[in-house]
Amino acid sequence: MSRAPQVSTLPQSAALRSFAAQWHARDVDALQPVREEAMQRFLKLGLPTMRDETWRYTDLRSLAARSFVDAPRSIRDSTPPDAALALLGNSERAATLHMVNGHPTLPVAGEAIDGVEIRPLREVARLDPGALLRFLQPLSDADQQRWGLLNTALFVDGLYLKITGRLAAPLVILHVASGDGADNIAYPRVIIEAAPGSSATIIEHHVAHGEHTPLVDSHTQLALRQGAQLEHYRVYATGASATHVDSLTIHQDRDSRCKQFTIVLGGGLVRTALEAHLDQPGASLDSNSLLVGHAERHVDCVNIVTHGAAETRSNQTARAIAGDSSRVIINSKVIVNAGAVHAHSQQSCRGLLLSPTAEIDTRPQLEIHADEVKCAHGATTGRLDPDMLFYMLSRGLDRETAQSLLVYAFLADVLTGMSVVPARAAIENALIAQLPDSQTLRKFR
Amino acid sequence: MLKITDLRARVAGRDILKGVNLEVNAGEVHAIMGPNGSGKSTLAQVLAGREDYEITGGSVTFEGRDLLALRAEERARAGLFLGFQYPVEIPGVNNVYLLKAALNAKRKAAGESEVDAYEFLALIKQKMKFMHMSESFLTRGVNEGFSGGEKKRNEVLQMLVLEPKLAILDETDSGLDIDALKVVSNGVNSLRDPQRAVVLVTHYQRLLDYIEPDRVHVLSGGRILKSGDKSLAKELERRGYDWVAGAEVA
Amino acid sequence: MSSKSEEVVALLSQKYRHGFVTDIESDSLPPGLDEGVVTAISRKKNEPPFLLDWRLKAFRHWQTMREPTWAHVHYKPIDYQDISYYSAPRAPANAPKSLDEVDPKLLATYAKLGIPLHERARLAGVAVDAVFDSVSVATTFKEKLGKAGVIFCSFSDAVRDHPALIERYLGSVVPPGDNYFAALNSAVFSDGSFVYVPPGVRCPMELSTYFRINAAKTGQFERTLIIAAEGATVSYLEGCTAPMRDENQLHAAVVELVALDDARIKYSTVQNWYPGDENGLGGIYNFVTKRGECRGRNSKISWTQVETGSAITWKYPSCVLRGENSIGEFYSVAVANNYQQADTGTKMIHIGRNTKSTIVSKGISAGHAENTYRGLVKILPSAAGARNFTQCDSLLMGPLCAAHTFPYMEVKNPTATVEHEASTSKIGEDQLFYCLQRGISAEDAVNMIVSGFCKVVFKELPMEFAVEAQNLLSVSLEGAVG
Repeated sequence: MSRAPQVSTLPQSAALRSFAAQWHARDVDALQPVREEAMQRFLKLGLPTMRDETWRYTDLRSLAARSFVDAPRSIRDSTPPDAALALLGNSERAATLHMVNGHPTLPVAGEAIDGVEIRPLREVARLDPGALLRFLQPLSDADQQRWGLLNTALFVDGLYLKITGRLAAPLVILHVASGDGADNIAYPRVIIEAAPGSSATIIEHHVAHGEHTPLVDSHTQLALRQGAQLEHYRVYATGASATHVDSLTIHQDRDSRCKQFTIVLGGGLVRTALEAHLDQPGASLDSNSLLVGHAERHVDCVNIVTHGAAETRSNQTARAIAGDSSRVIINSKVIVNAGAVHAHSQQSCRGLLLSPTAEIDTRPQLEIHADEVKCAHGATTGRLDPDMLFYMLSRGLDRETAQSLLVYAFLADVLTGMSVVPARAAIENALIAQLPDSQTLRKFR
Repeated sequence: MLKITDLRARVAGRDILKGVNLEVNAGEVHAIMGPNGSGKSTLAQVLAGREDYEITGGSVTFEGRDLLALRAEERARAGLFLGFQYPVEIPGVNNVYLLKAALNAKRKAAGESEVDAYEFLALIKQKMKFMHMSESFLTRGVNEGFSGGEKKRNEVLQMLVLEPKLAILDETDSGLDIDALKVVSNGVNSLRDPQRAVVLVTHYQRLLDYIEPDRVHVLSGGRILKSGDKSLAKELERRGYDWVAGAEVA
Repeated sequence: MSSKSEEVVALLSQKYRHGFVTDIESDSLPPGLDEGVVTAISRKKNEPPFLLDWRLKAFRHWQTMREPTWAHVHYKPIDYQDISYYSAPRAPANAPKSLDEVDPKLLATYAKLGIPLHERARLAGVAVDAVFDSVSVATTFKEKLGKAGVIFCSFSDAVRDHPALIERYLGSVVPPGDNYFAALNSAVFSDGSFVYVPPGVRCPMELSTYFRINAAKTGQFERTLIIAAEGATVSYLEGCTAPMRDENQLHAAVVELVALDDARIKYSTVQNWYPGDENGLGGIYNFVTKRGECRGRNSKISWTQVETGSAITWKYPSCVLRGENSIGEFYSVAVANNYQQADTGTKMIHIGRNTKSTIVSKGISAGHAENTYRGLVKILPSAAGARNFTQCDSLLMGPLCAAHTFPYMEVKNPTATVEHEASTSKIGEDQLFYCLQRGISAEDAVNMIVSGFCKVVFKELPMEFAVEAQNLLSVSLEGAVG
């Protein structure tokens, strides 16, 4: 039996009514109280609108009129997903976990991997709900968490990864989104816990399969325990019709180090939220975003880093390119809580506009409540530097080559930080394909 | 080789060049001297094809071709090289890649095949040694994090690799210590050849102790006020630029 | 640092110097707001019908609006029915014809404020249109300005003498329905200043208005309109102070600037309204709409502000850069101490080709204060070649204050260049120590460092006010380091 959440007013839009219907239809599990709270809050807040601060530039009104139903739990045919990037090259030791619309296809292909415990969330919820509840709470009403609430209420399954050792090879989670033609929605959920002293590289790769792509409301949580090191990638390579709302939450304990890459190469409307909490002294985060606006794509990237303890460090680098009629939004915020002395933060947001019908909106924000801090940000939006261009022309390079070279150089800050060489190569390839003069660019890679 | 006739140019609404006349023949080295703001750098940039400068009159021919009708990259491929006063930093674009692309662009324009990667590396290493440059140069971005002196050496290195017919060096001596000045001068002198010409744009006479010019011109107020042989530079050093500017008034 | 902390506490507890009340009978309307009050204000001022209609329209629109909540400030709800919307010093039978006829108590008030209104004013070369509460009581240097063809008068006089200019330009930059407080102002504004500089005229002196809120529970709703015609140049300074009162007072002014072809307007503000006491009691709510429009080619509007007062400051002096090659500038120093809250910044809207804007903001927070920079740079598709440069720096003094930087950059033209840089840090310990080691007192050292931090803004102020601004800053922050 499931109960409807007690909300004072009936959901206004078709979408909200359909979410409520999904709530009614689901099986009750041990997570029920938290899920119910999440559902109530979501219904009360409703779909985000452009009046919500972090949704200022993204209009979701077109979703309101749609009635969503669960996406299928598996794919009928077995052809490989479209556009999946070869992020691991031919490395034999690397492993790939598959998720279809949020449902893991276990057991993992190949052998169990040393140093990592992999369990489906449904199983964890049944056997050890207490362990899972620690990750689901506390719930937040912050508007960048809105879809995370819905995911918490409605995810059916997902992945729990506990890194216990030092993983030599990267691990890929391939998220396949595939619809059956109805207004599908999927709620992929991934929880990754890096035990003290462990280290790993994990790549979440979002791709679409087949003709229809569901609305994806994905949510990933990273918890880095003392001294853990994690390199995490989110790579979006879905098709032009896909709408994807992804939220990533990171909590970092003492002396942990997280290197995060958010790479948007696909999708029609992609919203990526990152909320990082540097909860204990010595925690350090490098967040890198590479956002490519191509065709009609709309990319809305929100990165919020909270320094909650002394001696924490964060570095945010965002590079946006907008061509054609695309629009790219970079929201990058640093919050330093009272008492988080000697916090050190650096933000660099740069945008490159390649077309008169494209737009880039940038908001590098600082919210500082402690005095012993060093926080700085720089942001630029514009075209290619004319001095650089002239220098290259005066050396005889043709204009196309010079321009392409500069575009590529613009992205180098993010690309060079990637330590997974095949992933970097595959990402570069996919990225270049969406830039003007891709033929020229390929030559100097 | 280069013939400038009554060249006039303006920048941001201000007339900078007000009728420059100059003829440079193959095999010659010319020095253009002048006080700050006289239009020296503007002349260099205009010859290289900078678009923000508006040509308001006059003509320039380079080996009989109308130079002003060519775009910056076409001028470079035709054999004109500008050594920048302030070379721009281009992080993310490798020095070697830029040089190789430049050399290949020139070869392609001349109907030659692309340079072999191995040969190219050998060539560039040899030139680097000649210019006393460290190996780390090979892996760095264009002028990225270079000191003023390193940037100027890099300009000369590029010139040596590209072997232009006409090199215009804009204040290539500024910001160099005496050792670096010698290295840079050696580089320029090594390129002297009956088929080539060099135009040195400089504020000080010092450079001319190392690279002996055939002709010296004084540019002031957007015009060449005086021309002579190398002794003119010495006299300028002694009497100052006021001497020339005063001479015009008189 | 503990002895220094005590020193800080002592210095920060310095009392507001401009807190005294002038006892003058006021001709005030009772608190409350409805169409009758709006009509009464208009009647009291003998306004032409178009203006009454304009006010009523604004009032009706205001009634449909909701008070905004997006700013990073917190305050108790304002009861708009508990405010008196009109307060004028009771007019003697005949209005004063010269300063000698002005109520001596008023003049004494100005003297305490240090306004150069009397002979000193002439020596300082400053014309003062002093607004006492809501009505202009004295205007000097009319003659000299008149000769140049410059109109500088109270808003009421302008309505009477130049109704065509008012009808043409009023609300043309800040429309009556622009925002909640602008709509309120449009309905009930009482007086203010008007400046018109005719084509080709360079205004022969700095123009200055000193605003003062006096009567208790009186909202101050001035309206300022400055028009610089083709090729005209004008520099205007506004200084503000208010007496000490326990309750909070609302100040919702509107300033509109219009620059036609090749015109230049420089608008400088030194704002020192009562900030409330050290416990956050009382103080002015300063919710002001200031906007300039570079309507003509090659025009330029430059805002400079030094904001040290008010319990809550909420203002964004902005530029609409419509004319080709027009230039907008914003230079700001905002100081917040004790429980002050400041949410200030600018908007630069680039519409015309090759428009340029520069933003320099220096925020200083001390005590429990919250200081927020909020700025929008918007490049529309038509603004080819537009450029913006923004620099926002925040200085923190003490562990309990906060500094926020919220820039918005919206770029819709690929030939534009927008650059933003910001930093937030504590006052440099090493700089401080260096000064102390050289025998300079902590207080002087902080003053030196802070003025260094603000220098780039102060140098934009007209000379005679730069010194005043610097003094004000020292008073607001003496020893504020912990």
